[in-house]
Amino acid sequence: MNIDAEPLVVDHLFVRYGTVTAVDDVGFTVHQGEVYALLGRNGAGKSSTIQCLVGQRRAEAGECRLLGLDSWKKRRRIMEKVGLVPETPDIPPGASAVDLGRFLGRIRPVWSADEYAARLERVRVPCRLPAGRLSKGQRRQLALAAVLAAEPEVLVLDDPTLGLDAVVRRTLLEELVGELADRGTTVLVTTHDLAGIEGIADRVGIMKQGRLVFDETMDGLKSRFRRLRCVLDNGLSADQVESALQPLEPAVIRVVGAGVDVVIGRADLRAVARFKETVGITEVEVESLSLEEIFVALCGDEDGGV
Amino acid sequence: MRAFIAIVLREIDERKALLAAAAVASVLPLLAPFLPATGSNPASDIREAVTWVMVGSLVPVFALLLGVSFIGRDLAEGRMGFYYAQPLSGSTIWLGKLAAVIVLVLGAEILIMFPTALLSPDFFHFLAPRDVLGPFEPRWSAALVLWLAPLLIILLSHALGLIWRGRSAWLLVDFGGLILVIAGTWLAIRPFLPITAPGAALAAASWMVAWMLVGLIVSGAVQVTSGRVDLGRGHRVLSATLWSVLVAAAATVLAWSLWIRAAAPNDLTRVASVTAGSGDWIAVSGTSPGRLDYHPRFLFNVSDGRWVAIDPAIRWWGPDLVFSADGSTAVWPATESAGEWTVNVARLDVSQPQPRKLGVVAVGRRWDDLSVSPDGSRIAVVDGRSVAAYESGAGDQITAAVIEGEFHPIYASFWSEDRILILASTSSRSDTSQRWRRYLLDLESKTLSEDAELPHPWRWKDRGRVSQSGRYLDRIDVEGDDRLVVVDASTRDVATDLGPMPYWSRISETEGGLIAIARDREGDHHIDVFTSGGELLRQIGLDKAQQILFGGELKPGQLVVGLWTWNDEERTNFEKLRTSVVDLNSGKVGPTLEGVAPVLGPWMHGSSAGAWKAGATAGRLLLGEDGSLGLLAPDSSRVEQLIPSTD
Repeated sequence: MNIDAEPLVVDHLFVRYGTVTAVDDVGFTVHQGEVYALLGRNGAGKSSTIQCLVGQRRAEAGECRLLGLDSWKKRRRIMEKVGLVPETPDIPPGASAVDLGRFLGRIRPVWSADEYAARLERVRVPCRLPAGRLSKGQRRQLALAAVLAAEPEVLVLDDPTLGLDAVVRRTLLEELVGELADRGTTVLVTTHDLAGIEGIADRVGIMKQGRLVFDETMDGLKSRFRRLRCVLDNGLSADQVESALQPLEPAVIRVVGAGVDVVIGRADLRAVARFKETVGITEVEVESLSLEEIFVALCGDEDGGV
Repeated sequence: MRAFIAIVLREIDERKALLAAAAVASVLPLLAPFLPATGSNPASDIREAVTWVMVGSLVPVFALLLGVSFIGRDLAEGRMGFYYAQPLSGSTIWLGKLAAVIVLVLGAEILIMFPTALLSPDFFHFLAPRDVLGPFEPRWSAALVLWLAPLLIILLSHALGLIWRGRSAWLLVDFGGLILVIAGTWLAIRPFLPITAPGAALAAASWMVAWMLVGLIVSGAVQVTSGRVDLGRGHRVLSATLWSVLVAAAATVLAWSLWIRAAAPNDLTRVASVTAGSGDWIAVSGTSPGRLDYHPRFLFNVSDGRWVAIDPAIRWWGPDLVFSADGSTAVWPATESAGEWTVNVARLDVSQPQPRKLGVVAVGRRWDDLSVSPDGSRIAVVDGRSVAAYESGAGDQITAAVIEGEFHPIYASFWSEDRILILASTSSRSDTSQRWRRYLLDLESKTLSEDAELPHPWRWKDRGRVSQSGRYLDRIDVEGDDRLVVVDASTRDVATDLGPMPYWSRISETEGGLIAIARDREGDHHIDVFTSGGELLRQIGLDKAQQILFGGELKPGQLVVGLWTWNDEERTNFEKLRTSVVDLNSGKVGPTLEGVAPVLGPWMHGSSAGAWKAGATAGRLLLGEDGSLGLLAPDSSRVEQLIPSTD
């Protein structure tokens, strides 16, 4: 892989706060035009990764590159073509949308005032009200409008739907993807709105306790994970059942009486058949999982080993 | 530049409420004259006073609040990311935000002053008051304080605020850095205070303030550029940069201070000397390139070149050191702190003289008067109206006396080993009303006796010193004309009138008792030679010169005479110096040596430093036009250079 050719590369990234390791050897690549969803529970290290990626924080080790340039050293040049919506909107509280537009129009190499105004009108953000007096959702919409009007080649969204109601969340994500798909923009998004991102993201990375534990396409992830339910009435011990499940790469195993409810990470029909054979059963119920179910299975128990 | 201006405008817009507050504050001085408690003071005075109170209280507060918050609060509240998410360099962000804050604070200052300044009859005086820092400082200093202090407060509060917000183990580095900088600066400046070299102290302090500004600006830029949104990292890089700059600046100023104080005699440019009546030791001081108003001073042995550095001279010509008449002891005052001085002494009849403090501390003026007995064993110290005598060896006090009455200044000099002549003046300012009273302090009987009141005003500490012939020379006013007279000590009557005596005229009394008076005014250039009884012996004509200078005797009756001509009104330019040896007995004038003039001798025998012996080293010292110091050969044919000028 030629990392200089990729729009977004994170390579062996380490971030520490004192003695706490927030990001532990994380690496992933987002290809041109891809929407990459970086998921994880609070404190998993997503925002630290993004701060390093956009050159705002210096990593202890590792490298981040955007548009082929080192994020730390070439931040100013990079930000000419990269848009960022941070987790907490940081627009100066005294700036109205008009003030913000005037400011960004002066400093951004590309600035579409018409698009900015149209979007603000569409999402009904008051243009004259200082940002400090807007609602959380309005501030987020304002930040997004400001970023999109600069027509970035790479867009980094750090939980853009945080604090928004369900309708706005869905509209925002769908609109966003529609617009960005037309432009071929590369997108890195972190979010807790897993249902919303499920139909949008091309690839998914899941961070847990600072480490990237999954990094693959959305389709691949969803086809790999299945819920497996069965009833075992042949007197096998829990250890024997768990041992039999190992080839299926179980993420979560729940045993209720004789019933077993397992989320497996290897939906291989032949492996399932061997499992049935091993434990001596004939009936196994296999279900598809949503992204949220997969995420909960993987991250629900922070101590669980995936 | 476009991005910089955009940030400045954005930041000003974000904090424009401060300007509104300043505008409101500016109205208060206009209303103040109408308040009932203002009495009969002029309205303009009240307005200006209230405006100063507003400026003095509000502007520092504005500077402090903005300094603490313009980066620190944005960082703490996670808003610095807004700028970093834009294509803006760190230095542009820093300079833009800093410039905006400066504009806001200075804008608020101007806003507060503006209405009052418009109504003030002297607008510029109001903006840059002359006397804020006292008469020592020129007008620009007050203006500098007015406009620069807010900047310093902004930068300091930014750094301190950030250090506080990012508090970590690096606080120890901050603390250590602070101690080093304060200690280094104090060690550098302390030797120049309070009056040793105020110019050098001011230069050192200005250097540190300048570097503090540079350090704060640069460290702030590094913090913003390299720390970015990371408060902890910001603290680290800010501290590392700030203390590196300040410690380096303090080390530099300390090294400069040490260099200044490590001068050698050869570093002197304009050399001045104080000489003993006998012996080979002299004291030299002077200016030195790069050392500003620090005037290095040394005890210097003219026969073998040995020297020892002593406390610097307050004035470059360093007149406040005295030698004993036998040349065995040097005594000088040194300022310890404002209004306190100590007595220092060095015995010169040892292989390597060492200066030491005598343990005598006087208070009041920098120093009043100091004298040493002819053999160097005793010292007289005038401290206000108190005159005390000490043993120069152990510093033990022999006796002390207080001169009753409103006398100032008071001078003391040893008449003999056990008698101190005290001259007390009623005033040093007005010649017309000035009275002089003479006392004698007997060290054996430890009694003070009032000897006489001198009728004529002349500020000279050796007035009234009676020679062995029972007479003394004095200057008196005869119908508005200053004249030199020989006074009978017993009757205090004028025995002989030796003619006009302008204050600049030089007189020399030779070892053999001849009195030489320089006549160097109105086209008359000659020396009058009188016998000790006041009889005119002869007149010796000299080349034209603005001033005739007397050195010592090369041989008995052979006086070293200098001729000084200058072109500028201030007489500061050694335009032309010449020296000849004049035989007072025969009237013969010897060959002329160009470019040198004699070191001035005591104006008459019996001065506190003692008479110069004929042929004594002191009488042969010559100052060059270039500021060098030389020694006239006994045959007067050549000059041996002792201390070359570095000019």
